[in-house]
Amino acid sequence: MEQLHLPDHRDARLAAIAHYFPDAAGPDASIPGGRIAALAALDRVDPVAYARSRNHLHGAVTRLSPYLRHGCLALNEVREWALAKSGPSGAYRLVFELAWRDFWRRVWFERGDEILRDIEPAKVPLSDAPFAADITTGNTGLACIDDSIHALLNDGYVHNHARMWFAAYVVHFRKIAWREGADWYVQHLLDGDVASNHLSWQWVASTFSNKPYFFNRENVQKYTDGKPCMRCTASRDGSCPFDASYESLDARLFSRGART
Amino acid sequence: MNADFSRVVFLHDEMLSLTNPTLMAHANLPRIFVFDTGDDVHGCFALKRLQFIADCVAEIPGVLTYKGDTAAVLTALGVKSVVTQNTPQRWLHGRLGAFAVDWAPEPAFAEYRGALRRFTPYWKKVETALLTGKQNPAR
Ligand SMILES: Cc1cc2nc3c(=O)[nH]c(=O)nc-3n(C[C@H](O)[C@H](O)[C@H](O)COP(=O)(O)OP(=O)(O)OC[C@H]3O[C@@H](n4cnc5c(N)ncnc54)[C@H](O)[C@@H]3O)c2cc1C
Repeated sequence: MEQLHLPDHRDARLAAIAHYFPDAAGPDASIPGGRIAALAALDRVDPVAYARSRNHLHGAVTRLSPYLRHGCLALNEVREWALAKSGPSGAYRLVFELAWRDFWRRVWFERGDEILRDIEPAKVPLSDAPFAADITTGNTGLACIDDSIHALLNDGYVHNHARMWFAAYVVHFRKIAWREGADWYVQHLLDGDVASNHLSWQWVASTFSNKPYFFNRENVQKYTDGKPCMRCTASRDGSCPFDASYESLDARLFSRGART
Repeated sequence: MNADFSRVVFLHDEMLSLTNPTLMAHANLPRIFVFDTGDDVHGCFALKRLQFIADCVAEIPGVLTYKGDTAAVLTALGVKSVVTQNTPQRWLHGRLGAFAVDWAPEPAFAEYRGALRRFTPYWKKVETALLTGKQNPAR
């Protein structure tokens, strides 16, 4: 065993950790940890703006998840703070989303490592294509997907909507087993949490939900103001796999075999 | 090493705040944090996440920080019993199997004892209490 000295100065601390863990992958942390940073992030939260814009990639999301995951903040502190600032109706959407974290965690307490396997039969055909290097390096050629992979690898923070798109892309468009995607994803997220992560992947896959989650180009455009599409080659040359109606995507993605 | 480590607070990676209730309730005990090098624990974490965790730990006064296998570190320190916060992380229950452990409950969010098949029924039962502080009669 080795005792570690964690310097008070942050730059020195980052260097010390890089030295203690020479095999750890990726860049230095761009987001600071700790309760002081957590309280500063909490202070920036606007529950009313959150409710209005949380689905948009540039909406007023809280970015509190790494702090909640590591216990720098408790869920109830955020709830009480939001209620004090905006009252029950203004805080409703934020408290609702905080409850998702609580719900997934309860499922984890109840089921233990069972959550690492299909909880229910999938409602659509799923497959197990190999997890590919273009995904792990952010070179799929699809700007909306590659942007979120780069954010994951560089900062470890990804917006909820971008996580949903990524998981749906991996599981339904690329036909990779959700568990492979989930295991890789959780290692790179600053808020990586087996319950919120693996159960969200199961929710997307339809092994812990009533139907699969998937999306189309119109949805990406709506919640990004079309910015990734404007610089996306696939979008320009007509090869965007998301450029279709929900009906035709449903038919294309899930045509093999009958739904259970 | 002369300090008495027979009973310690084991800080795991979900309780990294100096205001953590378990930590505050046992302010007199030594505090230990371990970067567990197992592939099922911190051994698979990206560098930025290890640094984020180090930021959290560095803010808590008096924490002794180690790198290694949790059980081996605690054994080497002479630990016999451990106070920590309960967690669904199975690895920790495994690593602490050889010690006497007080699992303190984690801070509760909602009061709920029903089924956990879908979010909506759970939400319907907890929302009134979460938004108004009043208990929902349907709970
Ligand atoms: C594929 C996938 C993987 C995910 N993996 C994780 C993970 O490993 N760790 C993690 O904490 N969250 C995970 N989530 C949930 C959610 O995406 C993140 O909690 C959220 O994006 C974090 O950003 P934020 O703090 O700005 O969220 P905000 O939108 O500002 O929400 C505030 C808080 O509410 C909670 N919350 C919001 N949405 C969810 C949700 N859908 N599920 C659970 N809690 C939620 C989080 O604690 C979050 O910090 C995942 C979602 C998906 C679709």
